[in-house]
Amino acid sequence: MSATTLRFQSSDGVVITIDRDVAQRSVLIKNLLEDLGDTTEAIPIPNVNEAVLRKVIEWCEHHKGDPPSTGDDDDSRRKTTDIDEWDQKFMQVDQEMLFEIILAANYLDIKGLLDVGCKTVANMIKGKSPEEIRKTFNIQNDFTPEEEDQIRRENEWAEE
Amino acid sequence: MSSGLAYRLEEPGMNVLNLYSVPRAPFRRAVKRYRKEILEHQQAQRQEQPCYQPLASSSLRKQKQQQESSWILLPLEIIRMILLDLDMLALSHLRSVNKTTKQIIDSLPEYHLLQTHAADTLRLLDLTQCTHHFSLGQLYRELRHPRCHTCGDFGPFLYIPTCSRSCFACNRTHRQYCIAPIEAVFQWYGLSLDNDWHRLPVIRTLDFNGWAYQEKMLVSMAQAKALALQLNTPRCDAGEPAQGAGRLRGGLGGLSA
Repeated sequence: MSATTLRFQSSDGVVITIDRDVAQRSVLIKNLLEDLGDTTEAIPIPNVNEAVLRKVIEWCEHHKGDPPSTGDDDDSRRKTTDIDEWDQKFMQVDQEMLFEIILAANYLDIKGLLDVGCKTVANMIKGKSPEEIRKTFNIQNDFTPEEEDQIRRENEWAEE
Repeated sequence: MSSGLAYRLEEPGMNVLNLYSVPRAPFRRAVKRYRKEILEHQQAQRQEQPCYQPLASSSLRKQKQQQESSWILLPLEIIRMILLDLDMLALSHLRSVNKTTKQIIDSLPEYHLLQTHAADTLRLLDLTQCTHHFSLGQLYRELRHPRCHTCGDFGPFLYIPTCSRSCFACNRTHRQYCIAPIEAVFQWYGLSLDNDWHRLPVIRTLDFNGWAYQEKMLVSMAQAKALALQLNTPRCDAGEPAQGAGRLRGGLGGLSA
């Protein structure tokens, strides 16, 4: 009934050919195909550039055998630190790329990839002191010393 | 919301340890030490794991110079997902990073609700030094639904090691809700105290031995067994641990409104 490959055009105009099964990991694409029926034209993806799109496709190809995620996110998001090894390696990119991937996953509605991205960022934050977090993410400290003191006190629930 | 730690042997009423009856000072010292240790431990782990390049070495440096780029600039719904993956300790660190992060965290409904309605439970998790095992999302989900995990009745207790609600009957009798001293459990399941203890939530508490308060570490037997099976060590299909370990059960009461 349908072609086995689809063509996508990234924001910088590059056309990439992808297997239909792989592309359907994205809920956006899946719905699009259901609405449009078959198309031989390149589908434009205006929010995602080539490099990021290739990364996203790489992820989808590796995970194409996974069972589709059910809406119930109770178990899938249960353990924070659980990122499988391949995904960890996959996410070893610079921060700019990481955020681009998260945004693309959000736009294309790929829940698994979005989860992995968010967990990766969460793991980057965990176990860091405020000073280290500022350094990692390049955030300025705009507290006055009094405010800083106040927050430190608020944070110590264990103390009465 | 009221809470307390019930900890008993086979005879109910024996060895009931109430965290609130213990003097604050040793607890405070222990918690301070705990927070420092966790930070150090996580840092040590980080060094073995992939290290993420800081922004400065990004290949897209030109773009970066025009605009400070960081996860703070992601859409709010994505930031929310990230924050739900963090534990309360990390959130408290993040809160003191700058005004924006503080505002974002304070306006997070889940965080706000937990702080207002479950402050006691949060403090108890801190006192038992289990805070870093549970993400905000996990805590929130668990405290929001009223049911016992095993039988579906109203569950006024929170079993700390797995952060799951339980009713009194299940808490007392169900095998899933058994805790015992870490030394005994680890010896029984063939786990190593040096390498494996940080893989499980360990409840730390103070025990009065007649002269002084001593630190005591308790772990969930079901979790230890699962870990042992996962690590593929022998002897893990045996049933109950040796006589010496006794059958200990524990649970944290957390009656929520």
